[in-house]
Amino acid sequence: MKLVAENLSYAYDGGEALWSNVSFEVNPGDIFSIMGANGCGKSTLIRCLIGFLKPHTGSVRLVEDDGTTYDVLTNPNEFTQNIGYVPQMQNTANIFSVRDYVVMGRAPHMGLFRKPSEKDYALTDEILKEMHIYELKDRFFNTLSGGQQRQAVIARAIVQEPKIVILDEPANHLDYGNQYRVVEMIQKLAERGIAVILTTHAPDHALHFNKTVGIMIKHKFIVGKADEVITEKLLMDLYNMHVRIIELPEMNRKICVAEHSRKEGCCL
Amino acid sequence: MINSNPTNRSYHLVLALFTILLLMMTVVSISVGRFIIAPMDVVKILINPLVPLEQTWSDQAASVIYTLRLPRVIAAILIGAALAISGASYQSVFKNPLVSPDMLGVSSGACVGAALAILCGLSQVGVQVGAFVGGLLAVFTAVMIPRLIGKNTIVMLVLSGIIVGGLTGSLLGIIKYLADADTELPAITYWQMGSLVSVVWTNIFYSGIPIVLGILFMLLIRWRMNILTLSEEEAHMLGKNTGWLRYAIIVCATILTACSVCISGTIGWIGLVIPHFSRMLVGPNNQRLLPVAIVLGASFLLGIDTLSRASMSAEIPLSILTGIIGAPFYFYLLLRQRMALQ
Amino acid sequence: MQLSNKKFLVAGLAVLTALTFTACGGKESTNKQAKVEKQIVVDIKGNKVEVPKQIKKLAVVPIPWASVVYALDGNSQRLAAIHPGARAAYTGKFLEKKDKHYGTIDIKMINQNFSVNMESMAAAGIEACLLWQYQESDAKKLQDIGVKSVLIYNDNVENLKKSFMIVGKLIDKEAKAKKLCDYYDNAYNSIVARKDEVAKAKKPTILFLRNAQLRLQGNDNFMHQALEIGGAYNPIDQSALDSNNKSIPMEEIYKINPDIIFLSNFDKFVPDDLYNNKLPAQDWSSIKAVKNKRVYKVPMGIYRWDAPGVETPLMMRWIAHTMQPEIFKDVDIRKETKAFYKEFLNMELTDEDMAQIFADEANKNSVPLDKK
Repeated sequence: MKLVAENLSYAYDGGEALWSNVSFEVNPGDIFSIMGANGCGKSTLIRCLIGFLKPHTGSVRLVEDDGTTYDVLTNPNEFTQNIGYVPQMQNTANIFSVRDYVVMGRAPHMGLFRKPSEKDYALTDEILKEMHIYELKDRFFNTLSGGQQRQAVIARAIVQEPKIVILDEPANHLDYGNQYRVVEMIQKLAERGIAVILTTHAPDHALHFNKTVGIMIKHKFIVGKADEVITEKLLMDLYNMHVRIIELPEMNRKICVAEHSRKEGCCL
Repeated sequence: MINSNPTNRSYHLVLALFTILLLMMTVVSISVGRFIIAPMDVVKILINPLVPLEQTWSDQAASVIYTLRLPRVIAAILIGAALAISGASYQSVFKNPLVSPDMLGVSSGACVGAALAILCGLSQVGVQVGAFVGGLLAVFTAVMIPRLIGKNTIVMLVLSGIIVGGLTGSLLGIIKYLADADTELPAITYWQMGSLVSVVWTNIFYSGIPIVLGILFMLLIRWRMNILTLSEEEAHMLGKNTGWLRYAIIVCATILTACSVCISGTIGWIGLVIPHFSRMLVGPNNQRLLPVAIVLGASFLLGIDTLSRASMSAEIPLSILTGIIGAPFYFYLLLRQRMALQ
Repeated sequence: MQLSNKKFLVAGLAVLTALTFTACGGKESTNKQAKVEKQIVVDIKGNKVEVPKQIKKLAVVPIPWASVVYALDGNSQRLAAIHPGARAAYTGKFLEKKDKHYGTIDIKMINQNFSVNMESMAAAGIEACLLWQYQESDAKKLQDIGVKSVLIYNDNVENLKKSFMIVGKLIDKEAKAKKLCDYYDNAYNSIVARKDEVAKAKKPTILFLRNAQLRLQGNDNFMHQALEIGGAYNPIDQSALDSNNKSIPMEEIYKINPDIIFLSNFDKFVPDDLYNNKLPAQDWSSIKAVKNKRVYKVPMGIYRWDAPGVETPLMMRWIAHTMQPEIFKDVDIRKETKAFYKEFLNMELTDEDMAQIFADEANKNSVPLDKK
């Protein structure tokens, strides 16, 4: 199953378009990293993808391997069943225990008046173990560390057995180690054949995945292979920074190093 | 301990213990009163309609039980359960543990509706409809004010509840001023303070059925209620018709509160204190919370009403007792929570 | 495990609901004490109530009606429960000297708001209970637990007399109840007989206060009528005030500037409070009645005279006599009172009793009412 976005645009209450002409498709095993400056509308795009907001123009569709197509507006149930969504880290009053929280991922597959079965709990425990957070299962969510909370939310998305996982700034507010643990987790998801869409502020992460990127810049949306699209010039335009992209041949990776901010026209 | 969730086993234990407590309290409550009836006779009188026994009791004793005590005991159980479960549900839907039927003005709104119906000389059913409409209007206003201002925060909701409360208070004042001091005023005051003195079987029939149905709906939907406490996008992605469900639960909780107000007038604190206490015992998962809150709410009100009924002096209005017991207890709960978090 | 819990709960609720239905059919009405002689009393709502012919324990919810029963019986032996307000009108008042038993009657079974502690009544063996006409649901419940309930009302003269007769029948004192009604009619007729003279006379402006918060008294049907036939000009009429818990502003009192002010026994205030301007936020010094020392505390005997009850005819006469002393100069209210107490209450009133009933001490600074 793949996700197809076609000619999307969005404007708040009839104002100027926040972004327009956004088209891309994400296939199983792909990692689609959406980048852009603060306030350019990444989260809004994500919300359009999950059907929480209605785009101004264009459509979001799920396409099965046999060609069956579901539109986000007319088939919301297919979206909730197939997409695992990981929201931005927030100060919610989420006071459930980890196990109670993670099992909520099963909700799209259950009847309105049902509650999780033994099988649902078994799957939950399995995933908790796999993610090495089984020992946290009876802890209350709001008492976990930031990294643990991320893990729990991602576990909740996996329990859903989704074909597609959408993450909104999954590495935000995390310490350096936890950021990379999340990156690894995302890679594992892709290895399972899940199509992953995420927003990120770290070009390093996009380069590390080395899959597809979508860059939101000056109301436009550039899609392409990460190492082709992410250039020093692009980062300069995107973040108003002089950034060097350095190859580390011994790790076969590219990394970004910030030099200094552009002197003229500073924007903070 | 506060960091971790009570296990399933302790939930079953708590639920079983409090259910037994409720059953015992029910028997005790039917047995006590100012008219002395031997406990054995109480049991026999209760069984008699099902299995006819040799009559060892006076007709008067049977009448006291069937006319005075049983309706009150059943009403106390139903109302205690209804208020507790509607409090817990409001707290989930509004993602706010401080919300209660009292705070959103549901109870006082229902009281205004009922008082208006009494003033207009409407029938029992009219009073009931008045209470329901009043309660729904109040909760609608309380929810709409933060939206109109465009700042949908917990503090705004609390402030909005204060606005609605002030308004309903004044409306009730006007109605009381207009009411006949000998006949209507005592009826309205009775509603304001909460009492089960004038419960009759028809009350239980008219209000009890919606209460039982409302509680059943809440119990069926209780696991899904958890999802509504998450962020809106998350709830959207995990839910089927989440928006619809949210309103269905608000309406249902309001029906429960309004039906309770119809029988007993406003009884404060139960909708706030009981869900809190239950949460302390079995954690925030509604799947465990709601059954425990039902049983605890029923036991609490039954205990309070029995106290009010069997104490020697004149009957004390229920809201006074629930306030005197509920407010300090709530303080204690908050204190305990704070200390445990440190 | 969890499922079974839910089932248990559902089952519990089902049992409760089932009890609801069975209970309605679960009452048995076989009566064992068939030996007691019975009679049927028809109450003010037309309900036929079967009561024992000899009632030994009677509860009286309406406050003034304890004194009605007292008057019909000539004593308080039959009263087993009265309203706390009826006790309040006894303690420290005239009746306390005359009847010690009245002070021992239970006041816990009836609450301030007229609700009734039903189980206590059943437990105390109360046989019958007098209730206000609007207390129908309470009446039904009491009936169910074996306390015969009889509804009465006194919103107008018709219902007052009707209720006298109902209570008379209930406690087997019909003849005396009839006499009470006749006494009422006599008093009324004797006053109305002079209506031509009253119509021509100059009428003093009256203000009848129920309490120091300026709530009006004398605007119910009885005092309203007594003032009218007695020849008073009562400008603040009940028609202007739709409900009975309203007070009037002080400015209104300046406007009507009453010639005579009556102070009810529902409050402790006395004429001196007005003469000496002791009531907060009220200045009485410019009012005619105060300047002329014509403020009076109204009489109170076994009960407050200004509430509808057995002493209402006496109050009617007292008012007429006070308003138009010339026209009603043949009325000797004190002699009349003495005779009434002798006949209905079996009491010989001393001068000291008289002084207490007519509040002579409180009225000592007022222009004396013609004492013959």
